[in-house]
Amino acid sequence: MGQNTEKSLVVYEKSFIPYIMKWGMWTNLLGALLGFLPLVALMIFYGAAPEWAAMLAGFLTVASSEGVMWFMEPVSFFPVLGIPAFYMSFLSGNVSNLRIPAATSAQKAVSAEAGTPEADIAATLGIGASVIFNILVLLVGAVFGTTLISGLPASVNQSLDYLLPALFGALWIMLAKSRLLMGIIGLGLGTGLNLLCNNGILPFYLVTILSVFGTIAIAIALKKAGVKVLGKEE
Amino acid sequence: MDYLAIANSPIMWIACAIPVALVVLQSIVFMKKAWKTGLEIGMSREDMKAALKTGLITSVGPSMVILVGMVALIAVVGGAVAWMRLSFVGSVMFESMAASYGTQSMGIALGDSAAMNVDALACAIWAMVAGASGWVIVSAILPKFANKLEKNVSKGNDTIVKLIAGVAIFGAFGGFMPSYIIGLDRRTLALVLGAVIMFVCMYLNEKKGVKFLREWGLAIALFGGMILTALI
Repeated sequence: MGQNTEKSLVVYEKSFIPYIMKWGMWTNLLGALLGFLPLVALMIFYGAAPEWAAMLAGFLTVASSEGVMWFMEPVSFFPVLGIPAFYMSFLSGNVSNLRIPAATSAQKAVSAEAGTPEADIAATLGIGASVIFNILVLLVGAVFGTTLISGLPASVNQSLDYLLPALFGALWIMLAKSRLLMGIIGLGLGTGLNLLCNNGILPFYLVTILSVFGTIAIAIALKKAGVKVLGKEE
Repeated sequence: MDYLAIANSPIMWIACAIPVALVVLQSIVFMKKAWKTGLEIGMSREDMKAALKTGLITSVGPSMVILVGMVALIAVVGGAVAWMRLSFVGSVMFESMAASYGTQSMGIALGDSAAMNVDALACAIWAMVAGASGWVIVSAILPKFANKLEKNVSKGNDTIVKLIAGVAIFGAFGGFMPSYIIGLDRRTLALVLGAVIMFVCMYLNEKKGVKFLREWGLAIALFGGMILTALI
């Protein structure tokens, strides 16, 4: 596993990636359209007629607070996810709290180095599993579980607040154990940027993008200076 | 007719199931192609099964968090729309915010069941869907350009491509982990405990040959970290 033979790179670049890019583009564009179906159904079958002015105002309010993120998040996460995982993550949503963990843990499970064909395949399978599982869990929850879930004791609800931090801590050590230098640089840079943001110096939408591309820039500079940034495996 | 009865009607469930079906379709198409390509480039079936299984196990915890977050959304826009929004493009934080902007633009507070009507529901759905469409459209178009750009920047230099892919994730974690660290509260403790338990799992897996930890280590670390934090 893991050797990049010429043949596997050819299969990956000439067959896999073009196929994914063709399907990925049109499924995501179609997704942008199909999302409006419930609205259309409300208008046709139940005579909903929201005022255009209100719709415009609602859209502009959302766009003014989130519009920058439409660009910042995809650009930030593109180098993290790889092409197939990228299309899947943004069509299915919950990118940082579900898809990135599923992709990175799947890659680690097969010891695939990010940026290789094997890593893209592992990420595709891992995210695919997460997409289908998440949809089924939420379906069961939406149909049967509302009373059950809202009846959960407060202690359980509060405990769930700790789930994501525990996940990120575990994922970080999983990846950083063999690459401690870059793990610490990324976290240090990100902490600095987050502090600047909390103090109102840096706009929130620049935090992740500067953290990702800053870490990449530092890694390239260190690499040029002869540091083994990817750890011993290099 | 009560707006929530409409929101939970079979017609609305069908209208929401179609976009969700597209997400499932894309996943299946991609996974089939990935499986086939994996075999062609010499990955073993065991490895690919391990990738599937790990993705699945990792999703359990985060899906529970999303599920609990969905309850608030179900109460105001109904089960069908809430299910669609959290299976498709959306995220818990964004949806509630967008939906409330939508109804507020009609002068109605989201969840004010006396004032809510079908028009306000439509406006909430519109704000959620239109407000999130930017992400999907950008994501549909970006890879074509980014792929070319990456090729130009690296000039076929494989080490740079791998370097970028290998370290970008640390930058991403740098973006969203510090919000749990800076507060120095119980969530910080959860983060540290998750990391410590994971470290032990990896050590046992790599040095002591405890095999099942390769796939289950992460789940043990995240539930372990969560439960210990709640108990301490």
